[in-house]
Amino acid sequence: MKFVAVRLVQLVVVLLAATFFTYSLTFVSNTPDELVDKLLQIEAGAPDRREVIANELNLDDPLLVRYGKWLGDAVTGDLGRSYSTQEPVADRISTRLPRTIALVVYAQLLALLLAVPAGIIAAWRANSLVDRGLSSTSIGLLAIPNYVMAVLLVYFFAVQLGWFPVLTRRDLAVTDLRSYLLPALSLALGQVAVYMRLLRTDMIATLQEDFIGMAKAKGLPTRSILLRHALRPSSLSLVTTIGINAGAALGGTVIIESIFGMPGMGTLLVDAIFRGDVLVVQGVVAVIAAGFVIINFLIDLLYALLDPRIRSVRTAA
Amino acid sequence: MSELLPDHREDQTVGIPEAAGASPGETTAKAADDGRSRKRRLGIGFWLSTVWLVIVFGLTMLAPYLPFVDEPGAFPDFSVDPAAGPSGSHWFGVNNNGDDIFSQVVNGGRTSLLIAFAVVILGFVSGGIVGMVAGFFRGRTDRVISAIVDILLAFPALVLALAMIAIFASDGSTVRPSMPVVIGALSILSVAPLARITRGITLAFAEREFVTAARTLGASNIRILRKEILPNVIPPMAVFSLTVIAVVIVAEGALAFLGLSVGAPNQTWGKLINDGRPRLETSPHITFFPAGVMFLTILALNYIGDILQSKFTVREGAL
Amino acid sequence: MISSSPTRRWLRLLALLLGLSLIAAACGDDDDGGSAAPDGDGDETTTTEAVEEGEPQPGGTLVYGLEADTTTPWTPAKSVCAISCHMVMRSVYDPLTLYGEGGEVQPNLLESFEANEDNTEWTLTPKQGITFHDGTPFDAAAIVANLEAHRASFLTGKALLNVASTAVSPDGASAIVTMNEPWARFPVFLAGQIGYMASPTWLAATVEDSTLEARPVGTGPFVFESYEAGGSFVATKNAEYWRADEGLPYLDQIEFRVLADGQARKSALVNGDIDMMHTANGELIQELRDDDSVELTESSSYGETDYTLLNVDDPESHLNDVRIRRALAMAVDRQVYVDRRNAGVGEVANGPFSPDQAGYLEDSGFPEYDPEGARELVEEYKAEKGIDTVEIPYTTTNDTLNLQTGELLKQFWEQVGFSIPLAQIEQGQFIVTALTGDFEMFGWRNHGGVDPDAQRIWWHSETADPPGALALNFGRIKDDVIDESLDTLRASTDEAEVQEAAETINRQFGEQVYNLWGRWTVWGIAKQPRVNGLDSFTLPSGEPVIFGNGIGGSHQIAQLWVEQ
Repeated sequence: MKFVAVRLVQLVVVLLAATFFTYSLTFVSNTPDELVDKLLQIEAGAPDRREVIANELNLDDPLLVRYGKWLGDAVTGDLGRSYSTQEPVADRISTRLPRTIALVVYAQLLALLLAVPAGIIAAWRANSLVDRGLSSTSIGLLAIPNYVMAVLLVYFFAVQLGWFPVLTRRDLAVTDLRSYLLPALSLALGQVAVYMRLLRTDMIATLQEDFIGMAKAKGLPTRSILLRHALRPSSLSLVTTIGINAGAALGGTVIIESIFGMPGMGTLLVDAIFRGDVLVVQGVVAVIAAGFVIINFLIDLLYALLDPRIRSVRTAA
Repeated sequence: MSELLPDHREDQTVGIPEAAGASPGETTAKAADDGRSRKRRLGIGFWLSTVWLVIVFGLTMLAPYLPFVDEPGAFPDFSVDPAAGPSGSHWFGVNNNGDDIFSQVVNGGRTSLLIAFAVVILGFVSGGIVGMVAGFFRGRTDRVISAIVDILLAFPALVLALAMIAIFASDGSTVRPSMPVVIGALSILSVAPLARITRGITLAFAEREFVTAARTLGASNIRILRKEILPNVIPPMAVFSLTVIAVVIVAEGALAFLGLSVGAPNQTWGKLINDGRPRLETSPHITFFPAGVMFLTILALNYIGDILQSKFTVREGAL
Repeated sequence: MISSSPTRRWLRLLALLLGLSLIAAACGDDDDGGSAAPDGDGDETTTTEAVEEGEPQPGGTLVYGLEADTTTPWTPAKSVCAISCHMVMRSVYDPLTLYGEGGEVQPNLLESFEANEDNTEWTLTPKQGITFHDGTPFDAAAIVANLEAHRASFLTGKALLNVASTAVSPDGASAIVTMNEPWARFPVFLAGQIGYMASPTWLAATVEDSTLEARPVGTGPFVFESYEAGGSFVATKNAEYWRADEGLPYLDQIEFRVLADGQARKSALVNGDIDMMHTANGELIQELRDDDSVELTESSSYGETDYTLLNVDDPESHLNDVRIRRALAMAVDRQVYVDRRNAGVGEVANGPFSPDQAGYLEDSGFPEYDPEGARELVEEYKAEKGIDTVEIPYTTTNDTLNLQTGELLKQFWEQVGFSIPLAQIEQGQFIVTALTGDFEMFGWRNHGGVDPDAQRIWWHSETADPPGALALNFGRIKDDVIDESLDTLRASTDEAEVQEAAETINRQFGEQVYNLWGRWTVWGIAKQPRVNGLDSFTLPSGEPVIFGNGIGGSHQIAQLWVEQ
């Protein structure tokens, strides 16, 4: 339990650090006046808006106090106002967040769908032609950045074959699988390689264990051995890596969303960057950091639960 | 297997934060399983990769002196059809404006690689120092440093890099990041992993007898760090840096794709790939050549990095 | 431009994936990317496919792919309205007048329009029996309410600076518009953005609640249904449309979808995700010409000009000096620009007026391609000012293709001694930046239209507010000759006089080089074969309306129908 508490504290610190970092950077690079100038321009507002903006951002207060106020508001769900669209930042984020989450989830599912069978086969037929073929493919896949993969997929499947749209709709529904396929696949293929290799490694080791030998001797069908007996103990590193990747994959969504014109968090961030809409940038970073923290915390819990049991299983076997 | 899987964060070390794509170098902890690599000589793949990297580095770094490479921003060739494919005078073809794609890929590579080197050197030095301090002094110092490094490692790096670029580069509503800004933002990607790995190695070595011996002989900490730890830390770090270079190339490409990397006349590979997207149907060579070169370079870096890393890990085991 | 055989393509993919290929596998492939033969003179509307249409069938929906998002409200008085906006507006609004044959303005929502002797007072009489979508009657009071809303707007108000007052006539049947100076061409403006009639009830409500601005209420063939910014605008059939007795509109529903990426828009059309689209991009037009599965209509009548907008009133900018502007113009080979940036589609422009617009001149005095001459001018300027570099930034949108155009222009300009940093702005901010004058050189497209009087707001010094304030005269042109000519043609009813005034303006632009003209755009409207009726729109009188009603690339939509 102590471990959990420590991790929690650590992760909250992450959150604070990330948001403070972005917040203070904004003010390091601009004097308060410059900042108001820029925001005024984005708004195309009349000069008398200066006061209003300065008040909203609490520009009279020292940095830490300003940050504290922002943080206080943020915790209650008020992330400020987007100067380019006049909507509350929280609203803009909440419409887009589900789409990004969906993308990450679909990508991980696709990756597993491809990687698990491939990993099992590769391990079972270790060092065979099939295995080496799969290995080479995965090395190749690892070397293709996800955005290049997206371009390739669009070229073949959207432009040439026309099976999928080149860009998604602006009012993209989370259930619109046809629109999600290519973006999710772009993110997934790189992961497939990682997952496959992980699973393969662990499985090869597991398959050498005695209890597998015993199962074989008992005459159990191969499929049963592979899927029921070998898979579960081999999946520990895979499971934990999935968790870590899900958090880190948020970075990949930024560019994939941009390529496919998906109305998610990534495009929101890029859009805000181009417009100079600082509160949106701040809000997006905060939400991503928060999501990230939560995911990692859950992984740590999961790991803490799984780990000691695995050790005892192994020593017993 | 579980002994090779300490704190799952160690896993993260070698699986460098997912900047925007490739997750190379998972293999340090996994190399042991692939017994064959231990015994295998450096195969044909290794040498092909080396040759490729030599070619790429050679061409890109020598670019200003090479007569067959146009300088960046050179006047386009209007004698060729727009977006013509490869020919004798234009080995990779031209884009719509008439710019020679081969020259662009070489010059772009120069920018991409220079940025990657700068980022990695920054990370090497700062990460190295931080990691050594953490691994050597342990205790509270280590815990604080590790916590910070964990934060950096854990966070989706591209998001942070983007935020930094947003803040530093924007000038009203125009975003024109300069080289230093891009390098600075991307350095976030390299410091943490390098710090982590340095710390790990330092930890292992700080226990060793020759260090204890040196200390008994009255050597100062600085001296020990310099003479005993450093020489052992640098080689694995250097090898690891190969994969970090690959990651940074990919990350910078991602920034260029979004239009958030350095501007004209510096063409980076990411920008060139993106430039060809509107013409993918009719003139795919505009995208495929830079993409292919980038792909092979990343592949080569990963491959060599993996093989060298497994060699180093083995040596550790033998000690 | 046909791709290589499928076998080689798959081989390439395989090779890439396995990392075994050398780059050689990727070359020796595909097209040779030849440029298209340059377009003809393009001043007629040309239909590429012979159309066998038959009788209009009511029913069905149509999805239209637009090139840009309209980030301003749907209130006519508050909208920065380009073609994508006009297409949407025409679904829910009707204009007071429309251009009939030969470019003559005819009444549409109006029953009649009449001027007094010296064109200082106009009487606008609305047709009877028309109601807005919310039930408010369309009457003289509604006309007055709309015109007053425009007059109060900082955007469209500039077009109505000459209006002294508006009022409903004593008998309530007409709107009386009184002018400061004689304005012979006033009804021309009523065919455009100024003439879109919105419900006065709704206008009043938007003052209280600005979110209503996103839900327009007009008299148009379709009633607003839903709208998501940057996404889709959906409108459904107006069963009470005042031309319902003619069967209009035929469609049950129309959806306008923003697809800013041209390739994606084209792919969407070819794949059947959308039914219709427009584009001004030469390469896309060329590709659409080659594609047999869609029908393409090209239009350049009364078309716009692609050009580089210059900010000429900034004392700190080098653009202040006409020699620099001339040098910039002389440095660029515009035919190369047309060939390489637009696949040869569209003609090189020498002025704002294309061949079928009044004021067109074969030789306007605009500088010809002369890089040597340009270099001399730049050297002379540098020597005189004692400087080494002349730096002038060129700004364009975030779009890859626009950036590449910028890169080409940059290379031409740097050849003759300029230093040109490229800046990119996000699309939504682009318009604002033009309005505030926060630029030096800007990629732009404008000046379509039938009547030269409509260009007044862009060129007259009365709309040249200082940089920082919002001005429609983006370049802040303050030229006496141009002002005088614009004043003349506003008041004149004499065709010859109007033509001469427009030509004078053209020549002045050529001499002073206030803008760097590029090419006269050709618009392509592509549709699935099942969509019909594109050019069969008529006025209630039966007289055909000129295609696009003076806005290049646009068209009416009430008359569109789809095969069920």
